[in-house]
Order: sequence, then structure tokens, then C-alpha cells
Amino acid sequence: MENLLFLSGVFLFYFFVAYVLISRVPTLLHTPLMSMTNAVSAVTLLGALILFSVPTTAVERILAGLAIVAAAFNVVGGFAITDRMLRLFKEKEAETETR
Amino acid sequence: MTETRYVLDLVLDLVVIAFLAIGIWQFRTPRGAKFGNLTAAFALLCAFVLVLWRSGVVDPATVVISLLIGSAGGYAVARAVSMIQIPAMVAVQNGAGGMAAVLVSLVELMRRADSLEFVNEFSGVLGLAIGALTFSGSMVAAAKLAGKMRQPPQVLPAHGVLVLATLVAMAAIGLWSLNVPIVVRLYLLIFQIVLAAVFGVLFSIRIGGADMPVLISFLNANTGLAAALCGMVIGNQLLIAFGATVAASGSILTHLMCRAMNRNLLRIFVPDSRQPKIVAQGRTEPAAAGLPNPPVSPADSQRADGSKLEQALAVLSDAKKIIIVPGYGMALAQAQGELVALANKLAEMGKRVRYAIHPVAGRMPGHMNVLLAEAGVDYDLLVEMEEINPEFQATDLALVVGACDVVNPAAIDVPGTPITGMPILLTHEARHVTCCNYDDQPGYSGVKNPLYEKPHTLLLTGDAKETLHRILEALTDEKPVIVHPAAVAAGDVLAAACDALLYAKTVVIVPGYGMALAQAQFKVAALAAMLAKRGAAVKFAIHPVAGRMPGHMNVILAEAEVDYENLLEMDTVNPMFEETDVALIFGACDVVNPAAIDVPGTPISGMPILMAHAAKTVIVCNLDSKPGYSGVDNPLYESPKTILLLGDAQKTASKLISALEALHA
Repeated sequence: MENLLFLSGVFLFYFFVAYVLISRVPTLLHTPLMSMTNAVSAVTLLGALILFSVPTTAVERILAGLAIVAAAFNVVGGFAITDRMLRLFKEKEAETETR
Repeated sequence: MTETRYVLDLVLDLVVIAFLAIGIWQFRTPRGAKFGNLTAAFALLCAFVLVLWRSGVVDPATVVISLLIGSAGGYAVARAVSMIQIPAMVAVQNGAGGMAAVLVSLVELMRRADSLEFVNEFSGVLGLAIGALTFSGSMVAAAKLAGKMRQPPQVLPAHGVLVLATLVAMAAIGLWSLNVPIVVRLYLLIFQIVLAAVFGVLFSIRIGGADMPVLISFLNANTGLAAALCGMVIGNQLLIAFGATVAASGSILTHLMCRAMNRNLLRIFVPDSRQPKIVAQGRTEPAAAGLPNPPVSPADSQRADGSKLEQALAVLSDAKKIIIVPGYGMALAQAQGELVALANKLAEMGKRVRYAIHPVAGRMPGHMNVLLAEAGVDYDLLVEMEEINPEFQATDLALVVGACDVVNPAAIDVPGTPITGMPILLTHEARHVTCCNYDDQPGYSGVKNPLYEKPHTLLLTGDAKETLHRILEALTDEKPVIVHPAAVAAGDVLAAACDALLYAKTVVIVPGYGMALAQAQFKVAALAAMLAKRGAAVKFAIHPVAGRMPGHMNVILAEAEVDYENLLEMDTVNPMFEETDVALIFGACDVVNPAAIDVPGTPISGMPILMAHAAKTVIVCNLDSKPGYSGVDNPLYESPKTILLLGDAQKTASKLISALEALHA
């Protein structure tokens, strides 16, 4: 029970913190925001990684491996596309940064 | 010792989470957001390293290979997509995130079946369901956005009952699975995943095009939730924190989108049973989507469009303050490049031009901003609805491009429609409104737009890209209006020819023996005089062998009282064609046949010709499209910039004159 309270508390706390932070994001940046948070949601990658911390059966290995593929696709693709998108936003005298 | 370790872990977790928070904090400004995105990526990398360091990996080969495959795929797709595909891309990624959450939860639930506490198990089963429905829902959304699936809502018989039944079954199986031996549990969990996936499909196929921003935001929130629940199974604070962040972001966006459409989330997912009927009587096909058949308009309406274009130009030239309202139709027509070029031109002319962005314009939150940013618009010109609405009253012109529902005043005036109460951009308060929309049909809501009927509104129907291009060309006054082949294909070549002549600054007329045969020289001369009076420079290009004797054409035109100063010989006129807006050919074929240059071995190969094909637009007024005396097919007739007016040249010339007169009046 203690555990439930703790975990839910953690969730609610961060939900609230994020809510406050994200409320400040202008509508101008909503698409990049969504794309970025989408990449963050691939944090399940860590979960998949933890699955590999003990010896695995073959089935587990396949499933967890697939989870890593999906999560890595999500995280790399998400941050890369967000970066591409944000580079498009120009100010009048914005210096153009290229990498 | 363990105490210290515990505290250290907690602190490190907090530091990583703080990085993520800083990343999001940077998203307050576009400039900061670039850094913010990298900060968030860095936070995730730190979390990754932290987990690696803490728990280690027993099977590095599988981990590394999976990581490489996923990352390479993600990076390749991210490089390849264009900005209009972003919503579909986000949906696919959402689906991948959901799938990862399902797999992790499943493995964890099965592996630690006897050591997990009830709370962890419960979260696991819930996470499984949410992950699976996010996956299938996102795939449906992606298919809809990529045009692989019909966008309008699809309602199965007894859809509501089906949805409810799946939901109840999911709850029952979820609870049941918590209290059964492990062998049975596996099957129950798999069944649970399938049910959740079916549920995801059921609710997302019922959501139509314009509600997509809500669906995408909702799915976004769900992946976050699935990740957080995944963290609850494992008992990892990082997962919970990151997942909660995403859930919060998705929830905020879902709420904002719903508010912007004045819709209740429940109403979007479980549509009112009355609603499809309203949609059905309003419209058959989505106005903006698809665009399968161009409307076949009779010559009259096309001609009216020509003068409407002139009116629009007049309004545009007079306006000092202009607000542009882009909608998803702009994106579909890929017209943002033309729109921005036009806006820049107007700004250059000293006008104040800004863009009004409705929160739900497009297919995901902020979609228009990204598209316009891609087209090179400074973001300080993109103004939000609340900020710009009070300014419409003092605005000379609201230029609506591919938007309908978001500027529909019925949302304010008419009670009981699906959009009643939805906040809109108050374009109708501007002094003038010009709409470049595909047609005058209602938008996705199915509610007729009274804005189109207002006396101060000009509706320019047709492909927005095409319309904007014509306006820009006319404003620039340098190039002719390049008539889209589609207009020609629609059968309205005369109107197309008129438009081309109307905006041409330089015209070269190429007379041939066909003109003489049809005795059309008087009409042609009259047409030339008319164009010259409108301010165009009109010349005649005389090929040495046009006619039946040397200098035949000169004589015939002299008879029609054409000033001989305007009759140019081939060598003089040929270099001028490239700068010519319209080459107008009357009854000439072989002397303007580019095959003489390009195709070897024909009877005319090597014969010097008039380079009419170099002109920006070519209008051919010949009796038929058969080859001339040489018998060599004329590729000029097939050229996309050629407008063919077949028939008696004298009649064609008369028609052109009267059409131009009508436009002028």
C-alpha cells in the first residue's frame, strides 16, 4: 500500500511539474513540443534495458529486443525530427546555425 | 552503506529529471526550443547511461543490435519526411512507443509473476491495455493522415455497443488475470492485448479528419501514461517521471484542441448519433481533402473567375493591413510556398502582412506554424487567435487560404450546429475578405459557411496554389500568367487564353498562311490593336516562307493596316521570344515547328524557324492539330505551356476579342 502511495505520488508530482512547465509553451511551438515529448515517451527503452539485467529466456529476449527496436526508433526519430523542425523557425535577424 | 547508495540514486534520478524539466522550460521561445530539444535528448541519454550503470546488461549483443536497428530506422525516417507528413510521423512514433510499453510490461508481468506486488501487477495490466490501444489507434491515425485510409469518420453498425463491450471485457479480463495461475494468465494477457488493440481501432476509425489534432494529442498523452505505468511495474522513478511529463503535455494539448473546437472529448470519441445526419446533408466529400476531380466549370463561370481575379487584385493593391488565414487546404494544395512569396511581395509593397493561426488549423497542434516556418516565414509574423481577433476590424483585407470552419461565422450566429460556440478567427469583421478555397462547400463540420455570401467577400475557387500563383504573377507584372494545363484540360481553353493575354506585357503574333486562307488578318490586327491599347507591346513575327510568296504576310498585314514597324523579321524577332509573355500563332505550323531543330531526318530538319516555343505561353489558333504541309508532327502542340484554340482562325480571333472585351467591361 505504501508502495502504491509512493508511486502514484511520484506520478502526480511530475505530472504537476510538467503541467506548469508546458503551460508556458506558446502555441507556435506545439508541434515541436508534441514531437519532442513523443520522443521522451520512448523512455520505455530503459524498461527494456532493465529486462536484460538478468539472464533471459529466448522468448523474453525476442520480446525485449523488439521493445528496444521500437523504443529506439521512437526516441532517435523523435529528437531528430524535432531538431529538423525547430531549425526551420526563423527570426528576422536570426543567425543561421548549421551543423 | 545501502542508505547512502539509496540517497545517491535518488539524487541522480532527480538531476536527470531536472535536465528534462530544463529542456521543456526552454520551449518558451523558438530559439530556446532548439537547445531545449537537445537538453531533453541529453536527459534521456543520461537516464540510459544511469540504468546501464546500475543494472548492467547480461546480453549486450542483442541490446546493441536492437538499438542500432531501431535508431537507424528512426533516423532515416526523420530525415526523409516532409513537414506536411509530420502528423503521420508522430502517429507512427506514438505507435512504436505504445508497442514498446506493451512488450516491456508483458515480459515483466510474466517473469516476476510471483514476486510482484498487487500494485505493480495492476499497473502492469493497465499499462498493457493502454499501450496496445495506443499502438493500434496510432496506426489507424497514421494511415488516415497518410491518406492510406478514408479520412471521414467510419461508423460500424452498433459501433457504440461494440466499443462498450470491448471496454467491459477488457476490465473483466484485466481483473481476472490478477488472480489466476501463471499459465492461464499468459493467455489472458495476450487476449487482453488483442482486445485493447481492437478497442484502439474502434475508437480511432470513428474520428474524422478535422478531429485529428485531438486524436493525436490524446494518443500522445496515452503513450506517456503507458510509459509511466511501465515504470510502476518495474518500480523505476525515471520512467514514471518521464512518462508523467509526456502524459501532462498530451493532456494539455488535448484540452487545448478540444477547447479550440468547442468540443467535449467524450463527444469526439463517442460522436452524437445525430451528427452524421447533419454531415450527410451538408456535404458528400471533404472539401479540402482528396481533390479527385477538378470541377468542370462552364466557360461563363471561368470568365467570371477571370474578372474576380481582377477584383481580388484591386482589393489587394488597395489594402494597407492584410491578415492571412491559412488552413489545412493550403497544406493539401502545397500552396505555402506561393502564399509566402505573395506575402513577401505584399510586404515589399509596403503593406503590413501577418498570419492568423487558429489552434486547430491543420492536423496536429501547431501544424500551420511548422508548415509556414518551413516556407520561411518569420515566426513573429505568426499570430495566435486571441491576439489577432480584436484586430480584424481595423484590417483592410483578410486573405483566407484553404480554411473554412475556423472562419465560419455560423459558429457565432447560428445555434445548434456542430461548430456553434467554437472560437473562430473573426475574418468577417475585416473590410474585405478574399477566400482562395477549393470550392464553396462546407468544411469538415458540414456547416455551410455564410462568409462566402457576404458582399465584401470574394471567393476564388480552385486549387489554392494555382490561384495564388496567378495573383502573384499579376502583381509582379513581369511574367505572364502561366496557365495551368489543368484549366486547359477542363476544356476551357478560351478562358485560359484570355487570362494569358490579359496579363501579358509582351505579345508576339506569328501569322501563317492559314490566317490568310481564313481571311482572319483583319480580326488579328484588331486583336493586336486591342492588346496594344491595354499597354502590351505587340509585335508580328514574319517568317520568310510564311505564305505563298516572299513577303506575302507583310502584304496581307499591310492590307489590314498593321504598322510595318511592328512587323519583325525572323532574325530580329527570334532572340526576343524568350522574353515574350505570349506567342500568339495564327494559322502557322511548319514555320514554328521545333522538330526542325530537335528531330533529325525530317523534311524540315535544319530549316530555320520562329522560336515561338521559347515564349512563356504559346497560344495556337489553327484549324486543326494536324501537321502542316511538311507532314511533320508539331511537338509544340503537346507542350504544357501551349493553349490550343482549334477552329477557323477568323472565328477564334473574334471570340478572343469579345471575350477580352467582356472581361474589360
